[in-house]
Amino acid sequence: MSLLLLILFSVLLILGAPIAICLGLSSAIVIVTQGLPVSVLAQRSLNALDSSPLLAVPLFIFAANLLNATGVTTHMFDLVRMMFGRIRGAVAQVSVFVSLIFSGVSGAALADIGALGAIQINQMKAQGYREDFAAGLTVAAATIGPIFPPSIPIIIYASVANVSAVKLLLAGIIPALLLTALLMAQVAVVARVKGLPRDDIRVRPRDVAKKALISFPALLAPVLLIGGLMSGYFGPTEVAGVTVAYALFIGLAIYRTLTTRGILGALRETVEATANILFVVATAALFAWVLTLDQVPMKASGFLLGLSENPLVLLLLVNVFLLIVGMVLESIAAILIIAPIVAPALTAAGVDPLQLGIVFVLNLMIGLLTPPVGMSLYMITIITKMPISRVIAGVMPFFIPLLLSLLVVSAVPALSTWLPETLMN
Amino acid sequence: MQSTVPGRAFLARLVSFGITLGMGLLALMAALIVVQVGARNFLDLGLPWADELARFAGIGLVFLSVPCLAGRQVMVAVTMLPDACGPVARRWMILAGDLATLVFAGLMLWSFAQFLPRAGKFLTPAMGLPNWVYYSLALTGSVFLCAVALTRVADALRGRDPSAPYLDPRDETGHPI
Repeated sequence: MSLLLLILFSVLLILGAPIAICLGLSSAIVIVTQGLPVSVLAQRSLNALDSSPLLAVPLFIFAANLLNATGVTTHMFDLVRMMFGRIRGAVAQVSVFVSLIFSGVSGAALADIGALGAIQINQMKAQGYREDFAAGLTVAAATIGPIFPPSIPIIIYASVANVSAVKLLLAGIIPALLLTALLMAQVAVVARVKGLPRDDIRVRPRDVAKKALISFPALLAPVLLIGGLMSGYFGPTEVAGVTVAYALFIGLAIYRTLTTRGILGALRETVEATANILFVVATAALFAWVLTLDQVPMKASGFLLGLSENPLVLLLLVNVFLLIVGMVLESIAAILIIAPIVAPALTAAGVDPLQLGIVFVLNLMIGLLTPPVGMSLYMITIITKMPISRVIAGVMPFFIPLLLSLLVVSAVPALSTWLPETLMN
Repeated sequence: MQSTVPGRAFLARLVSFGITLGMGLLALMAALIVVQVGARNFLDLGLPWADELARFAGIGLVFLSVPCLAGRQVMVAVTMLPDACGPVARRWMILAGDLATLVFAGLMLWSFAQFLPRAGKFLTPAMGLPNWVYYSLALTGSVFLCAVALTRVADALRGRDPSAPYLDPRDETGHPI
């Protein structure tokens, strides 16, 4: 049954059918041919969408689109560039750092690329950087977004794996900072080797202070959101709604740059992105149900635990498996299908659920940069009009810091567990 | 070659209106979540109906918007092979994708016909809505998805551009901008 499912899925995927249809139709054909109740199709897909945690998906995307329409992303970029512009390779370093700041209000890598990608790449190109380097760095830096809270994949993983979403969101902070540091270190090395330029305009402290004041409401957002989450004023889904309200407030009342046209544009973009993502979620639920019916999770658990009982070895094996999965499966679909298979076995073997959650999401976010199903690659090709082969060439060097951070987060559980345990106890 | 015919153009406008409805549902969802946070923190009130209505909006948003995305051929897909092929092979692959969508939408409608007569009469826990009302937007979206896929297949078989009625700006390779 599972073999038929995978063959049908692969054939449809290769032919270029929409991923949601590949997942849904392969499952539906198996359900019909095996004489299972057809009503399962509607029931399972509707149940998958009838979920409070999933409401965070459209709301975080909407918040990111609203902030983008307000123009705060440009202010953030300008501020960080004023502060660090005189170091070598400054614009590239600023791109990585702004990705970290923006990830405090955005929950998805694609939203980060949509909001920042054009600014980051244009600024780098203007300083003479190679376009493939700029595109590669932009998509690699967007990986930080879904690891740092708030994060759509982390919220979805928490709901699937029955882990505290608040703790898991906090667990992502240190790994995200580590990833940022490693990316910046890589940029520093490239800057030195290739002699990347630095800004030669001297900025007065008064100008920096003025820009900081303008950017302050946007910079305050991550603090308010993480503070609200930790103090229990709002839950992980509600934080998305509050982010939308805050983005509207600063766009309409403080910056006064948010127009009706901007709001409608943000609504439209959000609806289209959300329908695309959540339709995949609905049909992935069918796919996961067929796998469960064929006892794939139990067989996989038995297989994994048969290979080793050492948590670190198991985690490394899962890393390899997830990196391959990330190449062929959309990230949210992968969480819905693979997390119920992998999480029970590894937790039983002694891997901390918080560490596993972060390793899982980090793996799949790296998968966003790998063909054939590398959604970040497709997104950046739309922005830059570059052929995908050039984007892939540009992103290749950044797999070093990405994989290194994955290895470190896998080997050192405290990086994921220390902060939530300290703050939540 | 005539690129659009009145029936197809009408269907395209109708499913594009689904996106507009989705925008309204998104705004409603955001407002409900904020109201819920406010009511709990300032008035010590839990609003289970607000959560349920937000979930209803979420389901509706997805199913009402998908037909338009399918019609415009902008659903997330891995297009490396079609992009690498010549125009004729690419057209056949797009047709295969549309046929897959049509079969899936047809099976979903069959599934709704089996599911709703049994489950439709039960009431939702917070608002007390019958399930057939709660899932009505999903059913409507599935009907339109089937109709859109059917017209795309028919258009492709007659040698027309199936995405033409949506009037999307496209780049030189035929991808939507």
